[in-house]
Amino acid sequence: MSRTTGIISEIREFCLHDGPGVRTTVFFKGCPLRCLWCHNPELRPFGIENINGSPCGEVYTVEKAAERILRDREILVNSGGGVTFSGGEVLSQVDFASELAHKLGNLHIAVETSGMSSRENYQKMLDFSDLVYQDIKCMSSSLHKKLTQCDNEFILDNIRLLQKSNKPYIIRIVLVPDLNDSSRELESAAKFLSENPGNLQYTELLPYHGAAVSKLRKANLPIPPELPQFDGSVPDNAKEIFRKYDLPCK
Amino acid sequence: MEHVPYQGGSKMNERIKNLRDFIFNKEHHKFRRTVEWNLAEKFAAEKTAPALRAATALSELLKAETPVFIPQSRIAFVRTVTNMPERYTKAESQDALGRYSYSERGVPFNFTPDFMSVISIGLDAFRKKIADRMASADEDGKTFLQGALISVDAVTDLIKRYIAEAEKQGMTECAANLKAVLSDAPQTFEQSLQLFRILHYTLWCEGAYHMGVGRLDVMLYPYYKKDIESGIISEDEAFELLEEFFLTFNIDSDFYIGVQQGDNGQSLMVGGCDADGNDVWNDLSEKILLASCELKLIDPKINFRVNSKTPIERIALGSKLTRAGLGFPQYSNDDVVIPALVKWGYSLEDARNYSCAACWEFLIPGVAHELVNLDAVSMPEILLNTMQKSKAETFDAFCTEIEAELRTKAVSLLKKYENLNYHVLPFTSVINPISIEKAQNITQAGKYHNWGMHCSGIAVAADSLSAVEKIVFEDKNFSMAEFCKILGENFENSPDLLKNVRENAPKLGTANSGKAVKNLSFLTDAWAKAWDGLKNIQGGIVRPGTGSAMYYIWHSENLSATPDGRLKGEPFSANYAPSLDIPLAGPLTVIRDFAAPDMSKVCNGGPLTIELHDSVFTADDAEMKVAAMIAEFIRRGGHQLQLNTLNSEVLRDAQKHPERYANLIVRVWGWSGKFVELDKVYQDHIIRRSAMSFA
Repeated sequence: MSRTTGIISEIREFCLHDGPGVRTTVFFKGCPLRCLWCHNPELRPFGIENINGSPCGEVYTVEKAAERILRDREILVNSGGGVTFSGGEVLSQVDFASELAHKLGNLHIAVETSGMSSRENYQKMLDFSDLVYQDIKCMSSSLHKKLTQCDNEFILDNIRLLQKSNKPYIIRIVLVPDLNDSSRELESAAKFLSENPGNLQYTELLPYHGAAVSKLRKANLPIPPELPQFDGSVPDNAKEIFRKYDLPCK
Repeated sequence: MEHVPYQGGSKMNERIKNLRDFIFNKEHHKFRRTVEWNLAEKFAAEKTAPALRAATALSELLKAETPVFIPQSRIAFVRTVTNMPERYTKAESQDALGRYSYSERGVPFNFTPDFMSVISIGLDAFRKKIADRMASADEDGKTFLQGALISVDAVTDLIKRYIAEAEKQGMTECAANLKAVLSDAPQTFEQSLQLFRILHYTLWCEGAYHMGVGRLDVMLYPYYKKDIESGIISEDEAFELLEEFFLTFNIDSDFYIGVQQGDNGQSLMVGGCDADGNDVWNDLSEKILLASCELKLIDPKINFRVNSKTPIERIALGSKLTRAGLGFPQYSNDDVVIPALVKWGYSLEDARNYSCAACWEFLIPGVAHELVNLDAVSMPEILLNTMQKSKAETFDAFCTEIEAELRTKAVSLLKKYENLNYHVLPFTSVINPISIEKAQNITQAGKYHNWGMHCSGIAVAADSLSAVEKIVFEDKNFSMAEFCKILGENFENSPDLLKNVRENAPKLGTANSGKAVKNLSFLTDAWAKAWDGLKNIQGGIVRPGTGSAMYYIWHSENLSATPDGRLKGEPFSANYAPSLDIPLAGPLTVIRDFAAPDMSKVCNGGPLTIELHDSVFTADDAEMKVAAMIAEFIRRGGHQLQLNTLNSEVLRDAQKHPERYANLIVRVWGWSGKFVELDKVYQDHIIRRSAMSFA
């Protein structure tokens, strides 16, 4: 898409789990990663596709999206909230996102990103965001490729950029049993982050939800055999690993 | 200095826990017995005056009571007699019904008396006040006040028997408190709670029901403050007493009259302003919210007065209670309610003192008995009737026909109640000084005589009207007659139209609500206009409201399909809330849509009802975020808001395994009850609502 139009799957109001205060979350369509445990698999394609007879995604102009978001400006501002750009992957439509952010004036903007894009795009995103939720899928390059079908070289490079930028950020790691939750993986992430934590607020370790399976099924996508069908939990020692490196962890 | 909320309400005191368990496990039922009454026949034979029948019945009932105590309790009075004496024989009742119409049982009910008029002076002085007035009253007045005196004497006699029993059991503090309230005005917080309990207990024994608690934080704060300041009790002790007081509302409540168990009208109001408009919030208001939160009881049901200046931290205390999943507090917006009441003729001072009836209706405690929930109109039925008769060629003309239909309905409803009569309850009446002053039943003596009428299914009606506007008047796909025929056939031969109206017609609370919001405003305005200039037989006006009570089930059960795609017999949404089974855009859209009309015109009460999934409260600062939503509701001019925290999976499981969910509490229409004690039709409705909850 262009600077002035983008594809959004949903603008969801009253989101309480995507940052401070009451937020409106914009789900940008399209993602380059193919995480096995993806929770929004219907948002992977960049175009508008029919899923079970209904189109997934809608073309929005900057004005239309901004108008929709600003309709609730008062509560977003009064609650210390704002807007959260999520997806899909916001970096894939970063020019549109940047224009939209500009149109939203001084509204607080958080982004939830995998960091999978060029350094240039990542910088553009940093320019308009007030808070970044940055995912780490895993640290090992070969494992990353296996779990997401993408290398993590760009991602780690962008995280270094984020750290240097001094923007407040939160690291989110979904711990999928037996896939990315080994102590070695977590130790490696903690070590990497501690080299230059920058303005890291905390690391959030999230348990895996078996609902990923039904999401894939709903999107008519194959279910990888290695994907657990049950809910996971955060291993007992996981938080300690981060705290050992002096990194706050939730 | 920044106010730090009371922290004591986080660990239930052992004594309170024991009391709560005792009551929850119904152990006090072992004190109960049934009595054989035959007073009515005697009354009929002797042609006893109504006031004396009520007084004698109360007096006999209280005489039959056995003083008992829940172990470790400090606040006395437990009902032990399961059945109440009849005041009239069947023949007399039949005769009365042939000549008069009654609102429900015809007694004073669903209102809040002026408890402080007794508590502030004590029972002795109260008795003297009645006796003094009796001296100068006319014959009827004398009989009425004599009934009141018999009743007060019966109460004092029971108190004396309770004192003797307390002394016998070595409950010296309890005995001392009862002695204190017997003669003088209560001096301490505990004594004020004790007398409050006695009064509230006696009202129900007399036959009054749906008796509200009123503005407890305003009424009892002086006692609380005095005790805390003088060191008589600590904050923790005051909190414990308040909790015990709340437990007393759950001891006898299974005796109380209601459509379902829990529908008993024990509503309590916190917050708001005084007669001069000053904020009344105090430490007791805060403790009321926290005690309710900790106890997780159905009663008392908490209402919370808020306005655009209410601090968000205070509203967040309300969210904390919402989080507990009890379906309250219910919020009412002073910015809308007070001006609405003034416009309806209430004095500013009275309007500022408003509280809440059993469910939602705004009333002024202690100055009047108004039938605030006399009847209700089915809005979808009005629309269907208008469609059947319509000759309109334009949508505007159709709207004019709806206004005429509503007016006709309003006039006919007033006619239905032109022979309205009341039964006399002297004790309940004289807890309002105006009743002593006029020596009359409160139903007559009250300062105001307005009635309230509700409407059910207004969202279904607004959505349906939008479908008619689009299909009949804009797209002209079907004529009105054709549409009526399709509705009569329950859409059975028109699956495409059914799909079209369900998926594409504008609906309140959805992304496509514009037209429906406009039509909602039309309907609320038309509903208000229907009552313009009409007077009830008592000389008061009719206050239109947006509550549905149980009519969302009753009115919908036999109603044909509606233009919005609702099929025959499907329920309406309860109260003032989006239709069932539609894709809602989110709570902010719902608030924006439902706060759009001028709610002051239809301000009898009837809340916007929003369901929240319990996962909302897993978010960081969730209570503040939910408070922000409530503040948004206030800012947008909504009048009343009720929030339910639900989890549909839990509800479904509770339906399958009721034994595991004995204490699962849900909001039903204007009250909270135990889910497993509800009839299936109400359980199913809540499960459908929960499926639409916001996560």
